[in-house]
Amino acid sequence: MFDYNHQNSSCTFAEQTISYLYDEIDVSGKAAVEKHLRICAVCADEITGFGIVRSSILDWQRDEFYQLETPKIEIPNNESKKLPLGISVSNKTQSWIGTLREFLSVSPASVAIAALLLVTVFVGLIVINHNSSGNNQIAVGGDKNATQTSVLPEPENKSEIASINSSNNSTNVNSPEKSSPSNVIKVQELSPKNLQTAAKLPVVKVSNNARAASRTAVAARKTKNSPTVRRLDVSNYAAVNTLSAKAGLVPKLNNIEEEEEETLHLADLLNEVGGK
Amino acid sequence: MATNLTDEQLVEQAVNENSEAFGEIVKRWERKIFALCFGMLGREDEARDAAQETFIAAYRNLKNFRGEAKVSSWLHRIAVNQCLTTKRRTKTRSESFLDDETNAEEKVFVAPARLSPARTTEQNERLKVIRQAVGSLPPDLRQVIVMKEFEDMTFQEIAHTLELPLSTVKSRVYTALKQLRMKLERTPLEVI
Repeated sequence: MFDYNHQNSSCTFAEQTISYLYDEIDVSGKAAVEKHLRICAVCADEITGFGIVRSSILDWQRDEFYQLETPKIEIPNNESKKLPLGISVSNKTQSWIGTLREFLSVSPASVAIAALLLVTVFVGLIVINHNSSGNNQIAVGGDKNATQTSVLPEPENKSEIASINSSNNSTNVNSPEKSSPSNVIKVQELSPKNLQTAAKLPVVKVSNNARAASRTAVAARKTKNSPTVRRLDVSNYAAVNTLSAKAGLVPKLNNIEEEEEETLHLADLLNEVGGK
Repeated sequence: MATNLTDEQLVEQAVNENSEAFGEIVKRWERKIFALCFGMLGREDEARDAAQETFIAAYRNLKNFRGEAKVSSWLHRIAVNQCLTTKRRTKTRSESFLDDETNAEEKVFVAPARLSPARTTEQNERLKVIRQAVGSLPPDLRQVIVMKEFEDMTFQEIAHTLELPLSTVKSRVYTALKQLRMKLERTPLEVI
């Protein structure tokens, strides 16, 4: 029902007049109002006056409001974090500073976990590094031990080295990279090509006794896993290292370790020869 | 996908942690709410802040939104309350030395260059008068006239949004226009 308390007009056409003003009236109602306006001066005056008011409001809108851009509505990050929904209404792409800030604003617990992981990784790296350098030291130390504990007579040792050296020089002049593993005969790597190379290698005459002694030493290594045997092995490698170092060859210790059971240990043979 | 949904469905999705749904509500209503705030407050900066605060408040109270009310009514109610709060705050800040409508005079209006200085002054005066007149209306009348003129809503839409009878809305618009006419006539300006 139309509220007449707000108005002074006594005309019952007031509601229809306002609908007519905003053109929200059906055709029959429009005709009725137009007919009424012709006979009612009060309503006609009101329609004119309201038209001026509307025109003024329209000017205000046109001059001030229409030019204004719609503000970018953004829900602040801290606001959205307080709420159960983790949403951001902002359509803006986040700047790198914002991303960094967001990254740094993670909970202290996760930061602590990340730091702990980092420290663990660093410690692990240091330990690995230390171990590898320790192995090198063992190898070097083994060399020293070998020189100290070597029971090989000097002259025979030298001649052996000389023969190996000369044979290596004669066979591997053009391919120095192949010279390094020449002290160790690798059983599994004897491809046809390698066999040709192996044929050119010096023939080391080994007596049956020496072979038997070598086999015994290998068997002893297989069965016994005692520290003594290990130490002996190290000294053996060291002896080989010493020999090869003197011969200008650098054997790969790792390869020797891997192929421990498959290779013929020159040091054992030398021990055997030395024993004789 | 979200554009096919009604406002109420969008709110339901926003409550169920659909991050795009509330964004769609904002997209649909930001211009109208900004218009309402501008019409209610008469100042751009305050209108911007009020519109922003309206959506933040809506976001905060998503879970309290009652399904039986319309989203448009809910947003308008929040916006009107926000505008009234802003007006009260402005009034308190400026204390009693000036009415808040008078504060609007401080706003610098840059007229189009094609107008002569005399015409510009006259235009500024007209805008000042209408701004003051609208600003001096009681909130319930101001709200309906702003919704009608700034948001370009029909009487039916306003009635729906404000959950008022259609006749009440028409009555309020009528009364608002009548009061505005009286205020404008009290400040005679040459009709251009």
